[in-house]
Amino acid sequence: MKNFKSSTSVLAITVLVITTLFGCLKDKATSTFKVYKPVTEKLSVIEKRVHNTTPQSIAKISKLSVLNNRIFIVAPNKGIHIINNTDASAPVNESFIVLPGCNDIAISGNILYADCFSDLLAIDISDPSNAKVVKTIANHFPDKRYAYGYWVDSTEAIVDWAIKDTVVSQSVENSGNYVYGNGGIYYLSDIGMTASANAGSGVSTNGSMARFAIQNNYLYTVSSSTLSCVNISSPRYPIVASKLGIGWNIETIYPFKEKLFIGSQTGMSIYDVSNPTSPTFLTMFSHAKVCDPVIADSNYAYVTLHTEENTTSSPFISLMCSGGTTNELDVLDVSNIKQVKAVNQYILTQPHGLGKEGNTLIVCDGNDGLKVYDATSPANLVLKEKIALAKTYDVICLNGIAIVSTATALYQYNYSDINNVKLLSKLSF
Amino acid sequence: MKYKTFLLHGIITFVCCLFLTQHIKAQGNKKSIHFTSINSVGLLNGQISSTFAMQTINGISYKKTSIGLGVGIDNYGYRTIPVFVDLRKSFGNNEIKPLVFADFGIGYPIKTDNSPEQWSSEFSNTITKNSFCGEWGVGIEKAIGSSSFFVTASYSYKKYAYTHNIYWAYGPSGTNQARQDYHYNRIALRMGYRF
Repeated sequence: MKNFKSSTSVLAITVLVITTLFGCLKDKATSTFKVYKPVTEKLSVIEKRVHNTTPQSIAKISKLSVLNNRIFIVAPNKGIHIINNTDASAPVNESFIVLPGCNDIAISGNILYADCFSDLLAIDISDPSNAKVVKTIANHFPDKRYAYGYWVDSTEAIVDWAIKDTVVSQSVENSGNYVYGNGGIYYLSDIGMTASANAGSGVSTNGSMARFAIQNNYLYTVSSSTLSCVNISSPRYPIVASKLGIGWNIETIYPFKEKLFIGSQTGMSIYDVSNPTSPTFLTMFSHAKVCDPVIADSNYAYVTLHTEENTTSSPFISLMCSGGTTNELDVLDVSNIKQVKAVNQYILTQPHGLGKEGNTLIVCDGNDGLKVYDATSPANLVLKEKIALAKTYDVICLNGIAIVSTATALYQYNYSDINNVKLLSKLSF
Repeated sequence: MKYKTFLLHGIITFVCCLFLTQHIKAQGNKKSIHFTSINSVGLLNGQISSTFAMQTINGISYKKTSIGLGVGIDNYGYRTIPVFVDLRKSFGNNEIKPLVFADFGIGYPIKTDNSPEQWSSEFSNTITKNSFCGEWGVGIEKAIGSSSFFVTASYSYKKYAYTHNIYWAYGPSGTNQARQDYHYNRIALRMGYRF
């Protein structure tokens, strides 16, 4: 009996102690993840660093722009390669303009317009070896101030990322406990529809992947959702004339006569710019959710639709484009702008940029090479030649010469005889 | 995979118990060693809830010490199946004896309607982890013939962890993952029957 009392007492005391301690017992939940902290820098400081340097090796080719005897190649987020193309059979890597945050360019006369993070810069290149910023339009691309959950001030840019392992406490309740960390973590004339913006002498010809286009003394730029019109009648002093919201996931712009052909991930839109500062929506041709550059002439528009490779550096871009499975060239009849009609579809491998001059249509079909078509009859394109090239990206067709960018080199082909396309040069990187 | 690991751990523990039994028998203590089964139900009381728990421990007993392999159901927080080794010792020769015990092992997550994988498609890539669980406490047991009834009070710890992709936290380098760790601290009150 004594033992029973003793044992029971021990248990009772223990239970009492434990129960008392119970109030001290707390559950704990943590979330461990990497936080990407932006490293920012003042745009004014960055823009002071714009200068020429010795020719750089071209690590990653991007968008092309051609003016007179020079080819300008954008090195994404780093600057612009200047290639002297006086002799198309022997191009020379001439200079490099250091321009952080640059992804798109267009040139009018001696002024090169380029994005520098969220700013639009006018750069005097009258001496291509001594580029100078002459004008800055601040915050012209406000959406570029956002990246991976962070918005930066309009005077700053994200120049790098610092990675930090972070542990944060969170609720222990059973539910979808999203963790909200810093930065909101959680939770084309009949003469030369050269895939290109062209407006007249002294204006660059851009590739079909371009987001800048010059037309009638106006520079048009597209961001992911906005079409901006910049008056460049005084090239050194560009002035923003208008901005127009045009939907989402805008990718390319192509000017032709009084129209702008806008390529987005869900379709091709046509805007009338007979009043240059007031682009007016005319029509849209919708397609599957894919990425698409577009070119056009008086009667036809050519749109390439491609799925994005998974190797893209941006998972968001990959996710956005990954919904589509279409890889094709669409030919659309745009002679009646109010009633755009699909003329034909051509199944391709992974078409990107395209260009057309006269009746020759050239398409960069990703790893399936460069394809040269006789487009005399757009409804019945005839493949004349297929040139084996890896990772073809964009093409500019100008004066019988196709300037082709791939992942590893810049090629030039003479296609004046469509039945005998000749390689003129290869500038390897 | 999880269930294979679960099974493997169980087999290893069972084999260990078997070897121990053989070893003790070889020492000449045949009469003192016998199979023991400890079965209990109880409550797990903690910050977020009080939940029902049950377990069964089967092993061998030598004098007043026993070792066994336990398995149970733990509904606190996210449901797990704890598989553990139980060490237990009672004191004295009286009808009612105090006892102490300690458990340690691994909690195997079980998918329920409340599991992270079920929350939304964003969690479809969730991978739950087998995590540590442990318990120690005291109690008393009252002999009833060759068996006994017992009551115990103990501190019980369980960890529950999983990883999942966080799409809204992609950085420049691509996929980002988060690991969620839950540390549950509970008071366990159990009663049961040992034979």
